[in-house]
Amino acid sequence: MTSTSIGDMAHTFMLRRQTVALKQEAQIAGTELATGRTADAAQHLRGDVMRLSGIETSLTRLSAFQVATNDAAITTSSMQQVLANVDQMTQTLGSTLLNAGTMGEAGTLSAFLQDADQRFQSVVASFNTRLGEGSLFAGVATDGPALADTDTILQTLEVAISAAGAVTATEIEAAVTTWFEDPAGFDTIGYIGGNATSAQVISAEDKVNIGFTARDPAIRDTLMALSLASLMHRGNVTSSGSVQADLTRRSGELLVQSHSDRATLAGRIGIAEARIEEASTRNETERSALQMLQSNVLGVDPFEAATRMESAQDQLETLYAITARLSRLSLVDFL
Amino acid sequence: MSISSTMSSALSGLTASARSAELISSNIANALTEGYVRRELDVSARRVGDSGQGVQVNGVKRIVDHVLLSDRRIAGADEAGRNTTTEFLQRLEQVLGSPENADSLVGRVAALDTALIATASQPQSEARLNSLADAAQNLTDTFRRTTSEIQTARSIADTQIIADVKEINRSLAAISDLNGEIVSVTSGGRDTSALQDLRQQLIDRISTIVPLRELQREDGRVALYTQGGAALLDGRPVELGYTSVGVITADMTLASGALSGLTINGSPVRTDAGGPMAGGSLAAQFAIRDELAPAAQADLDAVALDFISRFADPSVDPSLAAGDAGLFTDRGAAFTAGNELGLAGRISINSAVDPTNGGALWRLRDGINATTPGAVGQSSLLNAMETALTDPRMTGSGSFSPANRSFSDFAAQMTSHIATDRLDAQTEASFATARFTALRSLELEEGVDTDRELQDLLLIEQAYKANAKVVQTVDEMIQLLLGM
Repeated sequence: MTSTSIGDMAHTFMLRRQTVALKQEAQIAGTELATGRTADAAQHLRGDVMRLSGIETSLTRLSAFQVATNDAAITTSSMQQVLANVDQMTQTLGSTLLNAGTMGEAGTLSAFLQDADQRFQSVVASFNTRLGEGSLFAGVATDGPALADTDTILQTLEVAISAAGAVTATEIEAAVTTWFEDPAGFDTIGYIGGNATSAQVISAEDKVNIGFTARDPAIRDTLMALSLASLMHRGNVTSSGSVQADLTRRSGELLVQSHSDRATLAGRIGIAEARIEEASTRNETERSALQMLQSNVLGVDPFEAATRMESAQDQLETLYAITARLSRLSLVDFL
Repeated sequence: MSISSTMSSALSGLTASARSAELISSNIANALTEGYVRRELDVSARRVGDSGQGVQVNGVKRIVDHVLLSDRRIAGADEAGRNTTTEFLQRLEQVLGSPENADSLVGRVAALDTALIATASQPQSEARLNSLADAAQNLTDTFRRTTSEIQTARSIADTQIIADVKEINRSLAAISDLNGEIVSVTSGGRDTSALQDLRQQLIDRISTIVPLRELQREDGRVALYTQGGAALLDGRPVELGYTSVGVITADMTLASGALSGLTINGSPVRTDAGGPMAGGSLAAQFAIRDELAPAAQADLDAVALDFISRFADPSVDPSLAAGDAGLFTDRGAAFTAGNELGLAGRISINSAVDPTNGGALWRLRDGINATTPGAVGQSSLLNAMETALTDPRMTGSGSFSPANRSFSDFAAQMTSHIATDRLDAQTEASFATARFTALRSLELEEGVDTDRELQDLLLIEQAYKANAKVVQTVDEMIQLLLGM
């Protein structure tokens, strides 16, 4: 090892290495300063990316749950809307039919029955409401309507009544009730949707059941009450004025009763809505907590990154100054 | 008598000065030439009879520190080897991706999970089924792309090995020729510095491929041994043999005979760590081809197998019988035990759900083997698949320790393995680089320093003037004698 000389190439070699190293350092610090995140996550975490992966995966899942809770919230609020519509359409009709049936005045009766028949059609249409690509109350068979049209229901009822040989008001009402409760009756011919949908996943731990269908007893009873009035309007099952008046009154009674059943159904949907809302809030809280954690794990202190960049820059400038000085320091210039 | 000997001494001084100036000009001209070794004139006092008469030029001395040179070569080989390994692991880590990126393996798994949740929320939605199929397709693509990257790295290693082997053979032959030339030039009494520089450069070139020890033999010859002890050149150069295969697939290994080993003069030689060729970039390429890449492939296959089997379970999809292919297949068929090697490269989405292959998206909702579409609002299978993906279950083939992991954790574990390996390799590589840099820097310090050369030139100029003055004075003395 001689100490009397230092080769020219040693200078350039050292300067080159230093320049490259400092430039890399400045670039990394610059990127980290601009993004606020570490440039090499694996190095930052000493190779263990499990925790980061857990955070990222949970964040992505939470965004999926957000989609799911939004879907469920829209579905349930639309269901509530339909029930409110039905309430509005049947609210006064019940008592009107009750009064008209009790008074038994043929002209008035026929006018109210016609109104009832039209409202029956509207109510069935309401339960067949489609939301986006799916029927609301048709269970898993969301691609079709939940209920058959009123003509089909009424014709089937007329056949059932005549088959049962029902003549009196009580017999006719019994035949209609039987048909609505018979699995081969309303459940097959009137309700043409599918089984209830499975519980909906709305958060990592939570599922909510929003599989409400038009087969629900509350809805079925409403339909039964309306169908009685519609049968009277069609006039195919009896010609007796008193039977007609009796059944109209009965229809009114049933309609009034069904109101509270529907309110209970609306309450059940309301509970589901509340759970969805809760899950959504919880997801949102978890999301912001995870985002904070994510920036803890990946984040770079901007002050620290700026300091690193500053010092790399300073060093680089010093190095340039040294390079310039050293290149001027040659004996050649002095000879 | 003494006047003429004075003249002779002065002339020898002039000659020595001129030779020195020549060497200095050569040194300065080559101040920035890689592989040039600084020369000095080797002089001593000439003796005639009992008295000293002038200066004698013994020859040209190359200023080289053999110990330093040898250390630098070994450090250079070490650096080249470790950098090669690090680059491979970096490439692999990049393909797997960091979990915060959506296109990483973990990101793709999360995307599939998300698509399952969103589709279960609106199973009748064609758009969501489509995005679910896309997410599934993307994940299989990631598996296949990673496999292809791993196997391509092996093919590249194969190509590099054959290039390195050719380079070594060519250089050894050239070094052997130079050995011969140096012997004959030395015996002719001429300067061999330029030839020695050339030889040193050739040795430097192959010393990053395999770490070399250079041994000085008689007449200026050198012999070359690898650090592991294999003779490459001692008298005659050896011939390294290797057969490149081109494209490498996961099932091709050295043990299966599909890949070539290395031979020296026809006899096989170990290429793993601890073998005679260990330590340089050649051994690193062999390590990538035979150890690192196959280990990464085995891990990836283990992850792919777990993925396939999570969806092939009849308890998840009741339309499947035991042994049927689920949503993901081994190139269209069910996975059969023993076929794990290279599975990640063959994984594909079941054609029953792929509309471009005559399948239908509704099978994602109703079951892979379902014959007719069921009710469109059914979400039980989608929910079951989501649970299958996220439920912790026993995983642990490949190099993973057995543990209950969700699939996403399993994928992250794989990413962690590679990341840890990369960081380790990177640390080692930066140590090796620092060592090499330090040694190289020391070596370069011994190189040409123009300032010093110029200082020497000043001295030589003075000496030349002085000698010339002596000649002039002697001349005047002789004139004086003749003029009497």
